[in-house]
Amino acid sequence: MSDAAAASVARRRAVNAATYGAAVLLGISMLVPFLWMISTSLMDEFEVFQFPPRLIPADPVWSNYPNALTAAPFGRFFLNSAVMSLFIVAGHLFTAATAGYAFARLRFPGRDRVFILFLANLMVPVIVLLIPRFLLVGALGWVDTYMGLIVTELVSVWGIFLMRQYFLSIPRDLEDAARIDGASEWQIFWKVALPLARPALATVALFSFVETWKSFLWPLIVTRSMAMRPVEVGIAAFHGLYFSNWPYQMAAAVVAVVPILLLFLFTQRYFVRGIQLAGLKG
Amino acid sequence: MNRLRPAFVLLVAAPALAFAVLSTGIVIQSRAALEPELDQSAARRALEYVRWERSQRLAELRAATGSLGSQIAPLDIARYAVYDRAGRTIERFPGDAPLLSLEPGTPQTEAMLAAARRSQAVVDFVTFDGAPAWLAYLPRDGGIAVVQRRVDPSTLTRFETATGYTLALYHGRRRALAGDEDFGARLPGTFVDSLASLDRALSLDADRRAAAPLKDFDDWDAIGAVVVAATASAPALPPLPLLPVSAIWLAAAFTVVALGWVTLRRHPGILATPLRRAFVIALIPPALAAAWAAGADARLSARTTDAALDLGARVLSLVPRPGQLPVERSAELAGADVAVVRAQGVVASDPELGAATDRVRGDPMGRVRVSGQRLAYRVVSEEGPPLLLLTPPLEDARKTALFWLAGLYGALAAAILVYASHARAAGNAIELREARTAWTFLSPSLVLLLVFSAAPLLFAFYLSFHRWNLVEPAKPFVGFEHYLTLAGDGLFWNAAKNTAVYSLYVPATMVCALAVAILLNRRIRGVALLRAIFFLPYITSFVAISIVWQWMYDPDFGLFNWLLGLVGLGPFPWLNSPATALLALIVLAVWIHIGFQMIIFLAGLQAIPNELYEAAMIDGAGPWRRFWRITLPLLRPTTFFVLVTSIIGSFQVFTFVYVMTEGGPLHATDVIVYHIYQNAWQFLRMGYASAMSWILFAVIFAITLAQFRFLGRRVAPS
Repeated sequence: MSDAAAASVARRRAVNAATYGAAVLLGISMLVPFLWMISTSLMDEFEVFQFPPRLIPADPVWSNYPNALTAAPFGRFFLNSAVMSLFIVAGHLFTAATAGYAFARLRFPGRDRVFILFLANLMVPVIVLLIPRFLLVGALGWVDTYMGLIVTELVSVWGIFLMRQYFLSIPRDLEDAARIDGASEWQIFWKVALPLARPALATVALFSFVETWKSFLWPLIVTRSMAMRPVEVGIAAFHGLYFSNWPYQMAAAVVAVVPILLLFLFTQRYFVRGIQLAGLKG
Repeated sequence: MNRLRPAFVLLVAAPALAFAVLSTGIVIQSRAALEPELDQSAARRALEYVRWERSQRLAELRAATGSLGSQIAPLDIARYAVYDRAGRTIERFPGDAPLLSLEPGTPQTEAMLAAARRSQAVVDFVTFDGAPAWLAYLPRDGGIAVVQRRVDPSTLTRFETATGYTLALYHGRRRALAGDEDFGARLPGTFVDSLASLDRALSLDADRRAAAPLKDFDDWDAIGAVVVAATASAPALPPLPLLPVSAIWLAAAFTVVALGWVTLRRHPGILATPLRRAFVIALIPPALAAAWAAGADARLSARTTDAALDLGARVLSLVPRPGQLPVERSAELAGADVAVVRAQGVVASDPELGAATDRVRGDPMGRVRVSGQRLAYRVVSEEGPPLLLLTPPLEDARKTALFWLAGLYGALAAAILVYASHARAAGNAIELREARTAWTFLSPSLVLLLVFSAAPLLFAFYLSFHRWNLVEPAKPFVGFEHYLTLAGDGLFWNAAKNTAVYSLYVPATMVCALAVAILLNRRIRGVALLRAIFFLPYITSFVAISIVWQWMYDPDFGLFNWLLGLVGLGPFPWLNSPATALLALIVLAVWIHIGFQMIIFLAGLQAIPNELYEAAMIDGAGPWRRFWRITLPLLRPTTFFVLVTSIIGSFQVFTFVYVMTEGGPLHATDVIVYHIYQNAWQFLRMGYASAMSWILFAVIFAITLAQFRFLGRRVAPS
């Protein structure tokens, strides 16, 4: 009997070790493109075109980085992405907090119908809106400006949805107490509800930031000059210019990936929570 | 007067004052930002003009090479060789060494260009002894001398008189063309010191001098710069719009006084109710918007004149000599919405426009009214009969747009107001307060969604019944033509098919993601890190990822073919073949989305109560049985959610296709969104693209409705 128990323990250990090994192996294989990107970014133009490929550059060419980054105005790309992200994240936070609060906490006739209408926006593919939005932005004289990059993107329905779910999940006792104390609706929202919703706000901010930073189609259409391109569009243009120079392209890719990577490393749990909130409680 | 509360000052005076202050500030700021912008575009124009000049010279050179022997020497060519189409040398000067070393077995065009690039030679296609041939020549002075030869100084002065900018051409640090004015002395090597930095961008210094890079023949390296500097006759900014600014201030003051007077005398309690206060608050955004618009008009009006200047440069490149614009050439400009006018007669169209020229003498640019229509004009050339350009001013278009925006906002505010006062009759004070607060809170999102989502959606629908190329003002109504064409359009169905095939990545990813989620749904060391690694691809830059994968898919030197070669497979052409390109994109999509789906599955797994598993284990159920009987059934809502949202997402794939394949090869990866993008922004078929995008919308709409059918209870507001 004890032999059988020991055998089953041993077998379970073996299974555990095997799954663990498999998980680690899979994880490493997920990283291969990133490692390959870094490796290629440090090769010279001749080392790249070798077969079988060199996995690790014999003599790392660090100068690829400064050379690639000065070949196109990358500083400007990053500035543009930063400005765009900053304003859009602020817009998302504002609209998501106010609208989410209204949908979750305030009673008014037709609330649920209006909410469904808001949600219906999630069904609309961006490509349908592209031409009219471009015309609108063009009529306002905002093509190739920060205004044009930002103004169409200020509301995140997903963020509103997430904030609503979060407000629904926190108790309203504090708000009722404040209401009895004679606080105005704005004070209740600003001083009572919003501080409680900080984690949800952080999640919205993070996701908005990443989505904005990664956004491609609209910036591609609304910017014309190199000086207004955000990072994603800039790199795509760079890709076209230095088509056969893989080390330069990889160096540019590394530089584009790093900021989001750093952000993700420090804020991972908010991402997970955000996806789960949106995916499941909905 | 003791009723003058702080609230009044805040609510009535603040918007009006903010309006005045802001608009004045914006006018001044826009003008400050404008000067460098104008100079930059002048440099860009100058560069285009120089390029045109060079292409003219090139044409002359080509004509001259008909009889090479006698013409070569005066052209400052150090060495030359003529090759036939097979790459054999026909004639060579001097006779010692070959000028280009051609690679055997390659197409001659490519080989010629490559060899020319290596040896800094210039290659032209010429007619030699009546037969087509390649002329390769190595200019003296490493390519610079020929550029110099090819730009005629006298034509550059025409550019200067037309635009009011002084223009200088630099090759390296050297001044290429010596003009009358000693322009170089005032230019202490600012730009030409750093040709590398000039390579791709325009630069500008503090003295309103702008430089644009001058490229070599294959447009590869910057070999010099075109520098322009504003002179006294340069287009100045339009005058400060004193009238609007002072009008705005007057209006602001009037608003404050009048409103204050009326309010306090007649209706002491006008601001006492929160409803009215809310109304006043609602006035602030349109007030600010109007202020902003008034201010930014200055910027736009200058942009208009700049656009006219741009057209001016294009006209100059078409006119052999000033005042000789041939009628057929003016037709080339017709698409640009411009009328070209000479004092003695109209070249382009309307004879009535001719009269306008009299009014604009002595004033190089501004606004003029022709046949009741307000137009921006620019005098292009004053040599001989003045050449005038007319173009509709941009700021008028903006006013229309702002008018509609303000109207929309006003209608919305009115609706909310009516609704709120209606609600007051029905409900009690607390309900009213809540409803009002709710609408106030919703209004920013609501307005933005209406303006930038709902209205565009409807406008796209409207466009789908019209034919339009974005440039021409005419939008003929074509009924259902686009939709009917779509039904028989093979490329559209091809794109639809590719999209459907691409979306097969969703089930593939789901199987992998569920496996990984089960693997990582346990407390083992480093599990957080592993989850993060799986999630990583989803949050990183898709463009960067696409570039990396394109390199990994390289058929000759890529990682994939090497790895597959190790186990005896391949090599596969991946993105280079219609058979495998879409598959390559699917593999990439699996890798990207696996982590995202894993996170959702993890949450689903963690929601399954552990007791179920324990009970099953007591009953002797093995892991496989537990998975089929417990995990999978309980995960069904999660699985369904992932499936539907991912498929909707997969219908909208764009970035990978744009960066990696551009829809090719042979439309093998032409997915629907890319197809729409191409139709809209490359072929300018706005109506047709709108029709396609509406079909996509309808499909997604149907799928979502189906999802609601199944998941209705879960999404309904609780």
